[in-house]
Amino acid sequence: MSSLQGYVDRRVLVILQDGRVIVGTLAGYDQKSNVVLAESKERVFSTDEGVEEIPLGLYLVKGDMIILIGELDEEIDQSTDLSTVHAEPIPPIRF
Amino acid sequence: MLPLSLLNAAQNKPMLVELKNGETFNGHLVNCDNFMNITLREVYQTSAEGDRFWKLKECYVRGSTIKYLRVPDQLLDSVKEEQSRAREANRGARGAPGGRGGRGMPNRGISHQSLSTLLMSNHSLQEDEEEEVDRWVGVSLEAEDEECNEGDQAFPTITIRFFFSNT
Repeated sequence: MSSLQGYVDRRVLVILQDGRVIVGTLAGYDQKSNVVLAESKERVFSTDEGVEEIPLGLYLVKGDMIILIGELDEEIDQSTDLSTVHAEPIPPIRF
Repeated sequence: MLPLSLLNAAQNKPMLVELKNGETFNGHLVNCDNFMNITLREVYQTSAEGDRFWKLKECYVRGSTIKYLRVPDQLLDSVKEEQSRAREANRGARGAPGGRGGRGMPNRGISHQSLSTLLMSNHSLQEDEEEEVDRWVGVSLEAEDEECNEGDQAFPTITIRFFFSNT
């Protein structure tokens, strides 16, 4: 059985069907992969500016909308200067 | 922590709900259920483009249409606290003597008290199944404060949650 249990209380990166990228601490989840993200921030990617981080706070994201959840390597993440990262935003597969 | 326990704890709190179509609803949570269907009061609705607004006294949102909910940060701490309190209370109640509980769910006129007693007694029946019992660390009960009478069409909702330890 695959489970999100190993990610609980870890920093995770979530990609949604609308192309949004959200990082947050996985505070909880359920059978339907609905997740609770604490201290979450949206990362907005663009090619001509660095990555913009928008604080979102405590979020409850429905499992339906989630494409992937991955654990962040905090060491690498913190040593990355996001303002120097230029990337295409992820296109939505549904709006 | 379960997403639905967070939502239940968000009753009467302000929240932002975004639907899959991009529309957003800002309001106070009145009620919710396990499908994440919710009712909000004093709502500001915003179109997906963010160019049109509506004010609604109250609205109902079907859970399946929701993309995400944003709730106040403080809720996380209060839910965690409440859960550890519930665990603590149940640890105290463990091993309490109790008679044989009835089979299945009684249907009408049940009080919080008698439901707790029922669960306790069922618990003590399983004492020999050490492994099962050890994994079970708490129970919480929630009932809507509605009177229900013989012949009523609707039943008050009673939610029973069992908490298991992770080990």
